[in-house]
Amino acid sequence: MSESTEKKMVRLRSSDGEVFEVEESVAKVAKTLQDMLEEDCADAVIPITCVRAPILTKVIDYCKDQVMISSSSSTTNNPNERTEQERKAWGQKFMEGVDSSTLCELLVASNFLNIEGLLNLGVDKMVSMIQGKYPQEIRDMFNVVNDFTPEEEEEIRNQNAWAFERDPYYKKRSSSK
Amino acid sequence: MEYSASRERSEWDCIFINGEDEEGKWKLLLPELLQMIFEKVSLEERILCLPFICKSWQKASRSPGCWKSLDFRQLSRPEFSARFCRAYDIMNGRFSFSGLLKLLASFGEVAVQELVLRKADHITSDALAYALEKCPGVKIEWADEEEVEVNEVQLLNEDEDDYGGVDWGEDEDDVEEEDEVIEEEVVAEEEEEVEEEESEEEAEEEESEEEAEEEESEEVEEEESEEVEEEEGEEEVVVNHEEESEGLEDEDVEVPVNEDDNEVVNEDGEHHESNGTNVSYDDDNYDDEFDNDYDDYGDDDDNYDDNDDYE
Repeated sequence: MSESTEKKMVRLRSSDGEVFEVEESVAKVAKTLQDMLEEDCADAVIPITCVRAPILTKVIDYCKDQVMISSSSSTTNNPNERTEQERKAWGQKFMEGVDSSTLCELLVASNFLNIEGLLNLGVDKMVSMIQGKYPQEIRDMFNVVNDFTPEEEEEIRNQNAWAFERDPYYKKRSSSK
Repeated sequence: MEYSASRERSEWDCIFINGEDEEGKWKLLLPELLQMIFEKVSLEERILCLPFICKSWQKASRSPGCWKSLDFRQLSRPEFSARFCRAYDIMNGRFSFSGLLKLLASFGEVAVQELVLRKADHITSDALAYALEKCPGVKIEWADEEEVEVNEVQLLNEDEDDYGGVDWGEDEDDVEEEDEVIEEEVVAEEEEEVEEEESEEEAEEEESEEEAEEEESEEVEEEESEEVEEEEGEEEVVVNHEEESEGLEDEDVEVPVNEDDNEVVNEDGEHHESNGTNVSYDDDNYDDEFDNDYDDYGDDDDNYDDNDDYE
């Protein structure tokens, strides 16, 4: 794919100022960029305001892979299932070493750039990280601070009690809320 | 782009240019994103864990989109209700899956699309009506006809199974156990029948036990014959064997006789029938015997129970 002269290149600038040059087809994996490119701002450098260089590198890796898969499957007539499986395996491998902080930025980036596949990978990864953990473990893992006051926490605990009361008064009160 | 509109510039710089501010980063996860994630987390954790992380997670967890699919099969029964009561300060015994259904229906409202319920959870028609009112488009599926059957089978097994039944009862289903105890008196007759069927299965188990028993009995016989004399008088000399013996009959008096029977007969079918009328494998009787008699049987009994545990 590298020998073509027609390959249009697109330049992307990360939030921390690094410029990446990628093929247009790669950039177009991101729907947000696709829309922009179709509105014809090809020569300009596209600023990606909320994605840092290390994250953008990862994102571009993903997009390149998507382009490769779609082009190879169209030329060799692979049965869809197999490529689907390979894609899954690749996706798992792609997310394997990602820590929680990178994951967060990847989620934000793929959401912003509108890359559905990458977003799903990130979501699945995060779900697997959350599953089976205690609240404090989750807070630690994702650097989330418990910002409840004791009173607020108490309120969360109590606000569901209505469902378990036989007293119709509770039912009314909750449904009027 | 939405981001820059809704956020302070400096915050952006801090996170997206310098890559600092780990905490702030997570605040930037839009509620929609959190929702996408929460939607896929298991129902149990969605209820018990996510709302307690922090305010923004709590808010996201309450958005209807998180509750599109309510699959009650994901809630392990005794464990979940206990955890729920602890997490939400519900008085023990107040929890019901009907209440939970109402609660979740009020969370998800119109967004709820799929509802998988278990008949064994005894959802009241009241709660179901409430759910249907709150979540008009919902598709309800009853998942567990098999599961109900399984439970019944389990109950029977708890009556019949020698040791397994005792263990389960003690660990989890205290309430059920009480019921069983009552039932057992009623069911006793039925049990005898079932035991005959079961004796085939148990025969397999017990063959191995008997082999062990035979081996041991030769060694122990002499000792036992001595013990037997003592047994009648000294039943409270509890030794630290944790297990009860198999062939126990009514507590004290007949014990030595039975012991002899076991050794002589060595066939389960007969063994069961002879014992079935009195006691056999009833849990409560076990408990009684457990207290009083297990010391009598020495090493033989240990072997029985070891075998059972491993099988």
